[in-house]
Amino acid sequence: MIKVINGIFSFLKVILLLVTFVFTFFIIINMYRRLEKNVMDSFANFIPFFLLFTLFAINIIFRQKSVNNCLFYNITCCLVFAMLLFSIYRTFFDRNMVVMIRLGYDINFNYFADMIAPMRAMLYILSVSNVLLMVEGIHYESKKKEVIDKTDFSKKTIESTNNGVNVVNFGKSISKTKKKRG
Amino acid sequence: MEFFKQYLKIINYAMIGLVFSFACFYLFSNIYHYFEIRKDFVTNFSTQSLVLDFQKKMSNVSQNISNFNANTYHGNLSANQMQSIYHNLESCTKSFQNTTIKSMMEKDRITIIDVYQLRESYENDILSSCIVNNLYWTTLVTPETYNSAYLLNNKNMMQLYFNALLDETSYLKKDLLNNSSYFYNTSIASSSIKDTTKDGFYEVMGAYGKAASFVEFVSEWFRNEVEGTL
Repeated sequence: MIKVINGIFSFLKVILLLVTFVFTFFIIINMYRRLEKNVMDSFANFIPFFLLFTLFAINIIFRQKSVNNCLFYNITCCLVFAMLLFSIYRTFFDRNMVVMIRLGYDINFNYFADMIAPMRAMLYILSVSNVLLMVEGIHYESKKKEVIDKTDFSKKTIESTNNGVNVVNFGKSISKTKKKRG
Repeated sequence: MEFFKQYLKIINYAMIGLVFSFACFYLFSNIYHYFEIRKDFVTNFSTQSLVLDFQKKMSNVSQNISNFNANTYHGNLSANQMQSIYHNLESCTKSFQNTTIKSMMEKDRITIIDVYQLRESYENDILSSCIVNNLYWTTLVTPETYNSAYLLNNKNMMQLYFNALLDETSYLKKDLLNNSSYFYNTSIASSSIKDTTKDGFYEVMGAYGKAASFVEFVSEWFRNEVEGTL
């Protein structure tokens, strides 16, 4: 059950990141245009998105279980994006805010501007957490251990007897590398 | 190495927990604010005592100026001056019947946006169009321009009243704009947005009433001037 929930949140966080980025990009670019500020200055706001997206891509490509299987991290990511999407929804559609009527635009830039700083802070912290989970995952690496997997019975020789039990030597065993979780 | 790993894990989970709590805080405060600004004040606009009061005053104004006839007027002021004042007062009566007031008449619930629009209409239609454009002359009366002892004697009082009307809803404007932030700053007087909606409604309609009183005052002088009872 937890695996299923984890899988859902793990998938959802990537989708939500992309959706949130698209709308945030639209709002911030329009905000800078309205203020007649250099649009290039707004790119600092998108760095945490790119960073997090790159980290998510690394998690998926290298199948990093330490990150992908961390339910708490996945839920937190989804919660952050849900909060941002709710703010984006209000930025566009909440007509009960007086500033929305006063500004006369269809986007409430004034309200969304309040969200930019916490958004950046949370996305940066999520990126750092992702990296730390990856570092933790290094201990997750498989350890090689020699285990006897198959025995060649044709080379069986009785070496001695111990309390009436034969001590048998099977000669050179065929070994195989097997992954074992540490 | 195991020691380092354990500490790393604690720090990492503390950071995720911090983000989790921040996200929860922002989400819940936004949801709360979303519902809070939807609260309305239940009242029937057309039967509100404050609304009826200013409407009554405006009908008095209409009645007071209706008897004027420039051809038959022979008073202290010139017929042209009286004609001009007549148009000023008539224009004021129309300003009070603005589109915002008309649209509010059918409402039985007042939201914070309605209060904001009433305030905007007070500023644009009442203060700007009526009081400043049409009645500012009452504060500039001199013996040379208007031969009216009544206006001259009341000039200072009208100036004070005029200034009071201009500042009447300035605090309300700032208070209403506060609703657009989820860090809604409540004060001792108004502990919630609903209170602000209610208080704001009474304040803005009170301001309408005061402005109507001013127009009524001038119109009563006008009627007395026309009738020659001053």
